[in-house]
Amino acid sequence: MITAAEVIRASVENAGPDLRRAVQAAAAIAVEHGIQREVLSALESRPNLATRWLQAVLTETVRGPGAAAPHWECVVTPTGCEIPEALLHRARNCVREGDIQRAGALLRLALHGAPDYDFFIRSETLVRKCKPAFGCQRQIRIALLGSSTTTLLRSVMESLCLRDKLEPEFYEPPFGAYMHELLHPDSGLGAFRPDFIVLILNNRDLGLLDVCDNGLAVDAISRVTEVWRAAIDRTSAQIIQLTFVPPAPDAYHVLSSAMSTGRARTITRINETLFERAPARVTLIDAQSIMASNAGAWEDSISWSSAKIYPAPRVLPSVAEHLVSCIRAELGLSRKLLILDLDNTLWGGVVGEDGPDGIRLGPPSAVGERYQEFQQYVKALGQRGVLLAVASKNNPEDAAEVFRRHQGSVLRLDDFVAFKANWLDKPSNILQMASELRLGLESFVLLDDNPAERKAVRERLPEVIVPEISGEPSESIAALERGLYFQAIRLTSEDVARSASYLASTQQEELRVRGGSLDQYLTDLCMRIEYGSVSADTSVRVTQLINKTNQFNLTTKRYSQEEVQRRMVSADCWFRWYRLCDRFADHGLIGVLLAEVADREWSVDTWLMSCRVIGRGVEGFMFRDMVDCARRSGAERLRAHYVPTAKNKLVEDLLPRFGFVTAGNAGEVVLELAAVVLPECSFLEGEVMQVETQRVGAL
Amino acid sequence: MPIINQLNLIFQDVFDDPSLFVRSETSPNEIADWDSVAQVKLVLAVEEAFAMRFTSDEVSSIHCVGDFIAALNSRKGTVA
Repeated sequence: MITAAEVIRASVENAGPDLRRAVQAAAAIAVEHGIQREVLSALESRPNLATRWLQAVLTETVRGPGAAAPHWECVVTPTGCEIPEALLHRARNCVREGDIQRAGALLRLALHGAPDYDFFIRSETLVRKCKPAFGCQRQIRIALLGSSTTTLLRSVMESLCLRDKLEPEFYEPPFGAYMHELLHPDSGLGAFRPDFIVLILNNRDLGLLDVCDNGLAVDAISRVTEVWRAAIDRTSAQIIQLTFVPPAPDAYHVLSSAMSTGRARTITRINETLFERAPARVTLIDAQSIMASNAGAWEDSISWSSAKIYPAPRVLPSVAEHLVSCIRAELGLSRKLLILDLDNTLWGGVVGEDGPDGIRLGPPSAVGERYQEFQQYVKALGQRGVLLAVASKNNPEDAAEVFRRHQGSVLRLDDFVAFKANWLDKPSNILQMASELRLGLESFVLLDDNPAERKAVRERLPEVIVPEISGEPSESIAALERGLYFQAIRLTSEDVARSASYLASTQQEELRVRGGSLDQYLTDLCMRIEYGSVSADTSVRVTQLINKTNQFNLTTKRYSQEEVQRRMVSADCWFRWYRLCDRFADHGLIGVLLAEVADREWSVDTWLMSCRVIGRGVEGFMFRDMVDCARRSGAERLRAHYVPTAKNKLVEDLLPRFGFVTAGNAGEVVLELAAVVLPECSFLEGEVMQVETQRVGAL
Repeated sequence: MPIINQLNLIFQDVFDDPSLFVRSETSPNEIADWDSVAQVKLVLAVEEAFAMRFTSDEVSSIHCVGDFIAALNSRKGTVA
């Protein structure tokens, strides 16, 4: 005779995809009939994910959170993937025990796991409570302007921002009041001084009909561009907006797109025009691409009619993920380096055992074709500026052989800026990469099918993002698409040439080892510097550098595109860019110098250089240029200030090296121009050319 | 475990208060944070947990925990 406890066990053991509900229902019955202990002993025998989960829930009801903790730790998928639901539960218990730090770490992991909207509802209060544990490094001000209720979106965005170490402050006027906020000089928006304006409009704001003549479309477009103009005039914020989505119920069915006056067709045309007209301060996100990654409907008529919620609550997590990724990109916080495992991540099988001919990569194997597609996807990331690296436990020769000779391999050895195939542990390999490439761990993403490796890297290098993947190649693509870690909102020529430049650095290392003196080495590089005043052409790249340079950065001041442009035209600012080429690569625009100009004295506001070109003597050249210009303007001294951060120790002695001496105020140093000893830059000079308006910025 | 206990777990989560204990009469008057936004979140969380959808009439007539229970009871043993 089967017991009640065994029935309950069977009900969860064979549960369908919605485990949470099955487990909850089973737990409810066990508690109602007081047979938790019987069910627990029935669960011991056959562990799968669902039974482990029920075990954790019931242990908690019988023996308390402490006893349940190890059971919650075991609630992971057969491939070792962490489940947001279980992480949330553990985080709650940690808070109860007073361990906010650990709770924060668990919640961050859960928020990286693409949880559904229900998770955000149930976790947001806890996330807010754990705010100090997220280690926020930057405050941002976000205004949410919309024709719908934005509160739900705000909570999701807040959780995601905290996950990304951004501490957001929101400004949220009542829905529909956005035009008033934008147009009235004394509105709260102006006083709030937003860094970002997220504009949530929907098709109702376009005033379209089932059949639209061209006049309607023209009106609709100018309605949107007017909003942009007001936002640009009144604030210095970056504006982020989704494209419009045609309403799903459309009595004209396919005609709506087939007829040139159909509503769906008109909305497509409006979106197209908006992309063409969007100024640099506006970032448009294609809502269709968000819809493509979501199964559910874009709008929910009940949420709309009862609470004016747009879009549907269930798509909010992925909408918020897109918005936050654009904010990261604008702040220069997008990830830079994708580190890939090899066996069962970039191809199927184990090359050390199966041999290069035995692995599955490319046709005729079906899974091989999917791995090849994944390689194509990775290659495209590389071509648009994401750096690629390999970290794999393998014999280096076996691993390299695949990229050299395998017919199916899309990726080649020179696609990678670092190649670590060895038997060292992964965290050590990754740390070594960081120091060789002079990149911070917080710009790394690791894709690895092995849960043990993922766990090791997460524990030792928590700054590295390690998405949960099983090794199925289409899932690896999906993980990168969901996380949007490498979001970019502008493409510069430096982005496209970045990989080549890093590769060249590695070749230079060899030259340095072979060659003799430092001067000889520098001369051998045949370096050429171009430089000029920052202008519209160069301002995009200059802003990018200002916001992401950490190491060779004297003051680490961050400026938005708007602030850069203001300084670029100001008579009180001397604002330079520097660009470096050598015999190996065109490194692009790599240096920025900004000084505030007064009658007698110049004050250095920003002095930075891309880490790729450290050790080339470029800073000496920049210094000479500044001294030259300052003297010609009649100035008598330079004043400067080193602002130490966790990462810029490199420039600690930069100012003393060029003869600056301590002035009265703490940290401030001055240099009398009469007493300057100019540094030797013979290896650079001669090839120098002054290019005032050389176009190097956009593609 | 009757519906009210399952609802209690949802309320504890949404308001992040493990000591919260709701009764059928519990209404926004008792829970200070139960505002219109929390109401929307509760509706969505209950829909998710019980795999059902409320009608717009039901959504606008939920004023206490008992109203959730009534709406859920009306669906017992049926296809939501």
